[in-house]
Amino acid sequence: MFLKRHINKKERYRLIKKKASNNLTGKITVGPNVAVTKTGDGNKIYTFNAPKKMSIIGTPIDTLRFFDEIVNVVNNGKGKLELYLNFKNVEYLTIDAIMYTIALMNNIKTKLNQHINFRGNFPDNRDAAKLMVECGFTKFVEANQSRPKPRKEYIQIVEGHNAAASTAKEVCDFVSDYMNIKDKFLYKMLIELMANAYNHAYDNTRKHSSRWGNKKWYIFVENKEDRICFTFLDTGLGIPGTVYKKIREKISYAMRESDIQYIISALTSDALRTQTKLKYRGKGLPKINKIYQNGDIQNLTIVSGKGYCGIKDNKYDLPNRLNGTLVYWEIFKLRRKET
Amino acid sequence: MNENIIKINIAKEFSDTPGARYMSDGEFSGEKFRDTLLCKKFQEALKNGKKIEIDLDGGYGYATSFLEESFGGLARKFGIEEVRSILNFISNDEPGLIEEIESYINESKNPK
Repeated sequence: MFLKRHINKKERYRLIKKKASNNLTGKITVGPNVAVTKTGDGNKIYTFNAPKKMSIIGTPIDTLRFFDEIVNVVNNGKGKLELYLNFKNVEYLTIDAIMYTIALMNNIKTKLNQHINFRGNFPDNRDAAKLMVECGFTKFVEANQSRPKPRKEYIQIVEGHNAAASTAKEVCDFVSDYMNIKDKFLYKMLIELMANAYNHAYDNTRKHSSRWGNKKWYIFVENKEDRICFTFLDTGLGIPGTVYKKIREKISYAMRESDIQYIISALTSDALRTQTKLKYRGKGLPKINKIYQNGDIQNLTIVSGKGYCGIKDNKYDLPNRLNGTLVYWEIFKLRRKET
Repeated sequence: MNENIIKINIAKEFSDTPGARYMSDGEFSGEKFRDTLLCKKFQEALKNGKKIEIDLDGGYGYATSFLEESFGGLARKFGIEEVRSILNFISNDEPGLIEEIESYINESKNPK
């Protein structure tokens, strides 16, 4: 079981003194994956049942629906909220989903007169549970599981809040232990992603930022036999929310007609998409796309807002949104050896 | 040793892990490099009729935002032709960087 609290000290002291009543008075099903239980003192416990396959990259529809249900409850809830994330039945799990879970829990701010507690469990599936623990999830929550020693094949989930050159260096040094990269594209790519997250993902002038104002990014790196895998996430406004739009596009965006077009446009340099509207800005995402087009990285997948831009030119809009931007890519070892 | 050339080795004199664009973005930014090192050398070169040779080798790499703010920003401050006439680059690790930097210098004017 794991726990993430967001309460002030005074309230924490009050709760410690109080003996909670566990008399359950009934069960109200809100949706297929959410159960609402009332405790004897009138508080509600929302239980969110994770799908069997939890992967934003692999199964984005079901996975984002699960997270969206949590966001909806938090956004619309009043008073004390007890949220239980039930991962028991998860059989397949990827880092991006774990990372987004951490980010979600971190981002929820304590509203005035509202307290939000996250609790949850680990999957029964041994591989899924092992991944969840070993990737560094337990660094971010209080858990019954002991924190394992970091495996040398991973850089466990790291969080940061600006363009951290030291983290980019650590990642590059990790990669160089397993393969020789002649070009320096990886370092510049990491700096660009971090800087984008810091500069554009979180706009403090916008209403959205009032809840998701943690301004953090997360990264995880894994060495596999034939490749090295990278997962990068921020939970800001997302590419569709931050790129500069013309008037007609603003109307279209407000009606939520499509997000994928903005991701594609931001990746190419044929349209001025930087929100600064300065011609010498906005070169980061096109640079990353160029790195991909050059074949230096493989299986680049970007999920932002409702836009899914995946491998083999798989691009479409999703029914539920990712609050932020997820970037996943790989570097194949065999290809690099040949070059 | 050519006394008419001022040499700058970014990795040794500034950082081998350059950052992003602005100081607020994090450590070793292009703005910091430009304001604390590059501008001073450039003004010295302007005053004394010297050239500047910038060695880009030895570091972990350069984000586009770092390069643009450093050299594009320098051109916005002193002028495109002045910067082009004074700066020379060495980049054996990444030969393509020189062309990239030159494009940032050339496109630094008319920001909007």
